[in-house]
Amino acid sequence: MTGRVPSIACIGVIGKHNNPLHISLFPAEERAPLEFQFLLSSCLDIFEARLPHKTADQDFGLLQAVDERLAMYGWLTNTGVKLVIVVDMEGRLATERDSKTSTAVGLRDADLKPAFKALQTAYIMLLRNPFYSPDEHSPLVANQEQRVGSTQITSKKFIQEVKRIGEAWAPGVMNI
Amino acid sequence: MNTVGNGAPGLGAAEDVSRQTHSYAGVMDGSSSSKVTVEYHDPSGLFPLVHEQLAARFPLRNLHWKSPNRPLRSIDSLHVDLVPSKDSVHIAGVTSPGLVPPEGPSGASSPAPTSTEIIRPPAKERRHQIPGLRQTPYLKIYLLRCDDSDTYKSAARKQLREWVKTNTPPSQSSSSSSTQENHDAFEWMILHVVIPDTSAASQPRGSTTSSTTTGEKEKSNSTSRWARGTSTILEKIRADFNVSSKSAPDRVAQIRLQKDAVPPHMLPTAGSVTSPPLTESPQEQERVWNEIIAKFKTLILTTFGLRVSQYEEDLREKESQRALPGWNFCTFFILKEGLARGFESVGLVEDALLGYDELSIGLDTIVRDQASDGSQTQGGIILSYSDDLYEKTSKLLKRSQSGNGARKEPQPQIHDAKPINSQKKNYRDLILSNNISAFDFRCYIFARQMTLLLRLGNARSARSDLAAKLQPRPNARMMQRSVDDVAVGTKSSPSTNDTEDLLSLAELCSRALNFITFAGRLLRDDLLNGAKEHELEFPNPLIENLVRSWIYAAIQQIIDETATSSLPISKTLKDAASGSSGKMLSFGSHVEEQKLSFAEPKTMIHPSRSSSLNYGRSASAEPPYAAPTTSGQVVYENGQYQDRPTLGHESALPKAKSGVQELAGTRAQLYIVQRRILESAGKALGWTIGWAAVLLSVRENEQLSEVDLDGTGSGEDEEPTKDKPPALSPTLGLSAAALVDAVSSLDQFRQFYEVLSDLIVKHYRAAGQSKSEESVLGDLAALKFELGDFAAAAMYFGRRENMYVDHRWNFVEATMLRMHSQCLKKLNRKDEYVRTLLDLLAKSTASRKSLRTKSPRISLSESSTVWFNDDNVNTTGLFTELITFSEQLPKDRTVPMTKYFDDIHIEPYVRHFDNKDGFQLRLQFRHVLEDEIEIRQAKVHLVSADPAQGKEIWLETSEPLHLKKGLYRTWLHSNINTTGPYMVDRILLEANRIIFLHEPFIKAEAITPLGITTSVSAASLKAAKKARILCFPRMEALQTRLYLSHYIHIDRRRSVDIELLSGWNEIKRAEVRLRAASAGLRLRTGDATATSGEIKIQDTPSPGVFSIVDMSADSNATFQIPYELETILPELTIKVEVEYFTENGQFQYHSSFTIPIELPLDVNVHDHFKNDSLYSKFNIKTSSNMPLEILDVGLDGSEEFDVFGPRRAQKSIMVFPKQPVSVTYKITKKSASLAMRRKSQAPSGGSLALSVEYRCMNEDILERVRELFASAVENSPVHRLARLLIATFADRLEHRVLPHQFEKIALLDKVDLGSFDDIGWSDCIDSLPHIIREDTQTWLRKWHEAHRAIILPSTPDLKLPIPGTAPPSSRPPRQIVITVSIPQTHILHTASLTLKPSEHSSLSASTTIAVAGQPVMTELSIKHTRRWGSPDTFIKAAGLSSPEDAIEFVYSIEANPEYWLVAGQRRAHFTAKEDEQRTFPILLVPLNPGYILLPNVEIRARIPPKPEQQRQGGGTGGDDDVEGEQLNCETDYLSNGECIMVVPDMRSATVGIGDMGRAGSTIWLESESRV
Repeated sequence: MTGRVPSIACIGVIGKHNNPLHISLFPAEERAPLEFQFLLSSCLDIFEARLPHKTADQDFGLLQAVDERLAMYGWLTNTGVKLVIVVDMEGRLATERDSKTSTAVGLRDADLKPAFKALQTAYIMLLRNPFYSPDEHSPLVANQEQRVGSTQITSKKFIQEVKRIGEAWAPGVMNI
Repeated sequence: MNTVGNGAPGLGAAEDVSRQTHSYAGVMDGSSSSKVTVEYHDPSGLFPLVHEQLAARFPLRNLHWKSPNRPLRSIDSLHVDLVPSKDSVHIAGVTSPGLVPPEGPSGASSPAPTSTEIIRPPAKERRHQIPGLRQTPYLKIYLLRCDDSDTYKSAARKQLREWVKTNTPPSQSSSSSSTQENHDAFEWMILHVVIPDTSAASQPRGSTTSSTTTGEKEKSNSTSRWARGTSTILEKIRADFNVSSKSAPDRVAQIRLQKDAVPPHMLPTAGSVTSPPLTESPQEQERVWNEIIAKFKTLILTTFGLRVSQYEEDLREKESQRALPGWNFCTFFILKEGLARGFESVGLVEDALLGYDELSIGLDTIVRDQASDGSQTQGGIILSYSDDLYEKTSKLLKRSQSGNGARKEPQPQIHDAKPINSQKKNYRDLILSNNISAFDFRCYIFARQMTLLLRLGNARSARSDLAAKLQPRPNARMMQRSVDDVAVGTKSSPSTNDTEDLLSLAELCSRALNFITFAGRLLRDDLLNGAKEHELEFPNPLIENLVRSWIYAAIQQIIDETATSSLPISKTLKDAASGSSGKMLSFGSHVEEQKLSFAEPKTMIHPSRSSSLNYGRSASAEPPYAAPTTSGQVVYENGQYQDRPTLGHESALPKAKSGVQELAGTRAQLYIVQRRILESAGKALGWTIGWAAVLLSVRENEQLSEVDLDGTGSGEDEEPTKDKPPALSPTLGLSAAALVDAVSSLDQFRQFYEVLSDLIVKHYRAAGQSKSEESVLGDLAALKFELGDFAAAAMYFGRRENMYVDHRWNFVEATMLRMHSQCLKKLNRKDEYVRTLLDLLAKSTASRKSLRTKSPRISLSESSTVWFNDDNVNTTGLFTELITFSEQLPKDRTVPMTKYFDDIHIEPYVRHFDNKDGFQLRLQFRHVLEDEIEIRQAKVHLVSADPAQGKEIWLETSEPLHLKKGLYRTWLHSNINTTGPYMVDRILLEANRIIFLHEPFIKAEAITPLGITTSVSAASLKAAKKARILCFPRMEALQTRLYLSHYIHIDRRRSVDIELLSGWNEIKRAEVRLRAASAGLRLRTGDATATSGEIKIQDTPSPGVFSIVDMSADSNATFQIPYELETILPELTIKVEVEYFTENGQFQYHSSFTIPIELPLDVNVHDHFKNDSLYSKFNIKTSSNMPLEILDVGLDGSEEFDVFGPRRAQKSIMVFPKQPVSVTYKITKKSASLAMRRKSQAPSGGSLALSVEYRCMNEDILERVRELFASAVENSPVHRLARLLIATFADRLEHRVLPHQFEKIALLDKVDLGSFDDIGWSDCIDSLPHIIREDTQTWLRKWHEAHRAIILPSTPDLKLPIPGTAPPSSRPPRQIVITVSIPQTHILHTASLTLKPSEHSSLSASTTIAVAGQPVMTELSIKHTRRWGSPDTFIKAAGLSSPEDAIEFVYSIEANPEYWLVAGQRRAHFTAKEDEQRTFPILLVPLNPGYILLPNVEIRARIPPKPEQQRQGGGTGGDDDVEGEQLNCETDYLSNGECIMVVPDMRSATVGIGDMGRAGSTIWLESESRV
């Protein structure tokens, strides 16, 4: 039996006010959206709990191991946007190119760093878009304007970038 | 006991393990030790004597260890383990067989184990190549009994020397450079025990012990002093054995025993006492002991320092060899672990932990290298599987396959209740033999870490209490269990629990979480690899189950270990797991209680329903939050507080202790993993739970008509049996007891799930992690839902302050809403059900909208595959359900339309019907949801943009709408016929009981905190203007006009005229409603009359209303309605509403009129009385700068008076502000009826009516221009818009032509209209539909081109109508009738001064010539008449008794004394009666020649002075009569203005003229006088 290697199961971008900005599931058809939403929302507590002890570092590392397969890793941007990656430790079948180290040793926080950096870059690119107004994606504003519906990001480019990151990441991949 | 550590744990290993861990005697690997070993050599059997004293001073306190390359470490307390040396054992056994040392604090009840421990020799051990295995003594003590100096010299010294020689630590032997030895480095010390009553006891201690604290000082002091000779034994020993080096520690100490502490046989014979014993005070004893302890500390630390540096050196060496071939990690590991253990043994647990952490990372590296290289290059082999695991598993598999009978026997298990245990296997041996699997290796490391962390967590308590050394683990429950085994435990948990370091426990939990989940994977790999190695294959479910079971058990172990009294919830675990009743208080917070009280009334409505759903559960399992549905709130509270008094403390506790939150949080995470294991175990059995189950059922059965209320039913139970492979039980391999229980049945499964969730919730709550708590609560609610406990589920789902709602977790929210709605439906809470459905639909709509508008690029299909669209909510069928269900609602429910429909819009252009009055508007909206629904009616409410015209209009659809997804346009009808700008106030869609409401213009009056209403922003005003709907009727529609009546009689009630034009309507019946909109205006509709037309007023049913019937088309009728005003108003505002019925139904007409009522003209009268007639001059002016055209003026005679006027003018006369018109009339009394009139109608006198026919130029001009325009429009292609255009035109014109311009217009008969742009059509045109906008504008432009100026001829030119000529108004001119009262005067004197012709004066007809200086005879004649006055007033005024009485008058002649000399009676009294004529001769002498006016005559009545003041008055006019009128006395002086020519008194003159040109040559010769 060939081994399985970790892959990203879910990427969540969560706004400053703990509102979901974007959630991608990999592969989407196999993941129960609700389950991951609950996971993402509950990991916000961990962000909050650890925030007082954090200084400059944005990498929150492993937030929580959910079970023997899923583990959540977190990253906080300066603007309070939280990036969460849920890794499925047995996410996909190993190929020849995959190193076997991670199965034996597990993931280190550093393994996720490239993915987080790429995500942050993607988010920054999104913010650079003059047609993207972060205010439109704040629940506070939405509540004020009595808008219904979610505050998620609908930029196609961003979504595709997230998708690309989610699929490109593997342990040991340094450039995404 | 000693053997336990080697054996593989058997089936019942739990007890053994626990015993093993708690028996501190496991010296061999010392895993649990936190103490140092001190070996004593006791040849004299003295140890029992000193043991008590020593033990009382242990553990050692406050050790400060400073090593060269580390920071200063403080060891708070260090336990010392006193062990006899090998040779001393038997000595002790021989010499003191019956000597039982007094028991320490461990208690006298169980002496046996304690004593055996003490006497038991250290385990023999094989010297291994790898150091670090042994717990060798740190310090060796020689207990010396030397009773006197002689003995010392003879025997003791030698013994000591021998002992020292054998035990000299290698470090101190200079030759030993072998670092190897330092692993077991130790120090030695000689303790001289002085038995009382011996000579040694009598020796003084000397001043050496006085105040010194450190060994070095003492030593230096003592050596110098005792060098002199007579020394005590102690001094001798010191001299002999202490090294004289300064740095060397003092190794000699002495204690003196009290006599009573020594058993008699130990005492020397009484006679041997040579000197009196030296008694020591207790303080002194204490000091001595402290000294000894200080030496202990110093020496132990020295040893420790030596050992550590030795280890570090070794490590460095090993580390440097890492790259060399043959380097073995396992060896390195053991070495490093030795260091860690060393740290641990002195209580430096953190350092030990650090060591293990480093090792763990080292292992990672090795494993990584091994994995990447694919082969074992270096560092030894870490096996990929564990043999024993494989064996057990295969045994398990075989057994299960062998047949069912075998199942009865206990299954082999790969783990027990405590899978993480460093002593489960002989890990160290395995490591040393390079025969350990990665899984085992890691387990071992973690087990050690766990031990250390647990020790850290409870470190202080462990040391502070001697008893605790027997119970190195802080676990309270474990303690209780250990009571049986170790027979210690009277020290109960409370004291130890207080000192727990919760942060360490939390750290343990979080490490455990990471490790266990990781190890789970390792285990799986292990099993797989093991199978592969043996060319077998384990069935996948088995492996999964094994892994699950292991993880579960491991977590359970951690949870058990970290249970603490500081976190009360942690202690309920055991009970909770057994599923007892009181543990299901998941929602029991105070917030929840409040929610309950809210929900209560609703649930109470249908109590039977909610309770009937509960039968599936046992009564004991009834959660408290379900209680309110059946019982009251109070009962619930009582129940709660009775059952669980600790609950109230929960909130207070987290603050009390730091780390509680962290611990609770990490424990909760552990529970989460457990629960997930449970879920996956359930899934393997085909059971789903929580959201998964609910969503599944929701998806399968939209209506949820069949929620599986009896979830234990056979249906689901059969599933797993079907699925499982024939031979293999699906639960095979599960061995964690709880897990096995849980999967025994679905019921158990669910119950267990609930218990776990409940625990998680509590932990999260204690941790203050609300979001996580929320999500687990959600799970619980889903479970409740699945179980059919809808009340409980609804309770949760119904929370509006839900975090998911606040933070827009749309999908979660929507899912919850869905569940909630179904709960509510089940509970029959209709109102809430509908509300929830509405919320849900709103979400769905919003997402559809945003999809449609925001990003058409993202197609639905794409979004579902690539990323998770949070907005994507499926609500198919719900809309229909909502509409259908809403029938059951007791009342209508209004909801905002924008939430459910998109693109709501009203086209602001009216459309007229082709055959009837009224209009239509088009409503447009988009239905974005999939469901087809039926809208019963759509309505639009319009309000007037002009607030004064507050009439509202409702437009409605005539028939129901069937909506499918897509855009809808529908016409809304109104039967109202009105003109003016309107705004859409509300749009309503009615569907059963649901009313969708949209208000396009919410009153944007932002109210500041001070209550000041700020003005609406310009933008919103603009928007409102754009959406303004200009309503106007069709040209053919009914129309009314209201104006002030053309005929005004100044003294009568005024009235307004209303003109009704039926247009094309065959009106059957109509009701005209007039409402006064001006304050103080009262319309007397009861007195309304029809003034023209054939229509008569049928009825006046109520004030303000009159009705007519049968008005044919194209007819008109005018009605006059009198009105009254309470105050004077410049204008009247009247609202007219006509409700009329035709064959096409009922219609309404609304309009509002504002008409000026101020009279545009002023009339003044001047009267002049004559004896027979009265001349009145009427001055007609404009009152308002507006030119008037006077068409006719007439004064009609009355019965009493005749009027003679001038001839009527042919043409009208213009009255300008500066050019009034005056007309004079002569009025005479009709003499015939004079007497009679006097009697009948005397007081009123006579009054005449002056009637003026006029036109106001402004009215007239505007009207004419309007008419012109109207006729043009009506014949134009834009005639459909005629009403609108005409109304707008009139309005604009009125504003355009300024009042002062009218004068010019009147003079020139021409109006300058200006251009198209000047009029300002843009507003009007903008409100037209686009199609006709262009045409209209073009036409208007053309018209304006042609009509820059309009000629207004006063007379119609019928022959040749010039284009641009407005015909004269067809309207009748206004007529005003002013009553002119004939002025009253009581007495009229007609006076005349006539010259008497004299013979002297030459008389000519034309001119009277008088001679200056010559008197002129005149006669003043005064005629008296009382005709113009009424007799009774006359009586009053003059104070007469009868009208005929004579009145006394005074006349006076006012002559200018320069011209006249009056001779005769200049002033005289006379009396006069009616028609009496008096003459008075007056002689006048003109003084100067020229034309001279005759003197004036004044006549005044002389009222006889009467006693009553009020009677006074009269012509003098001096007094004001208060009561009555003055006596008026007019004088018509006929000679007024008459002149006479006065000439000098000369008839002829003769003048002589001399030389021409010479001065003075003319000479007056003679003159002849006239007379």
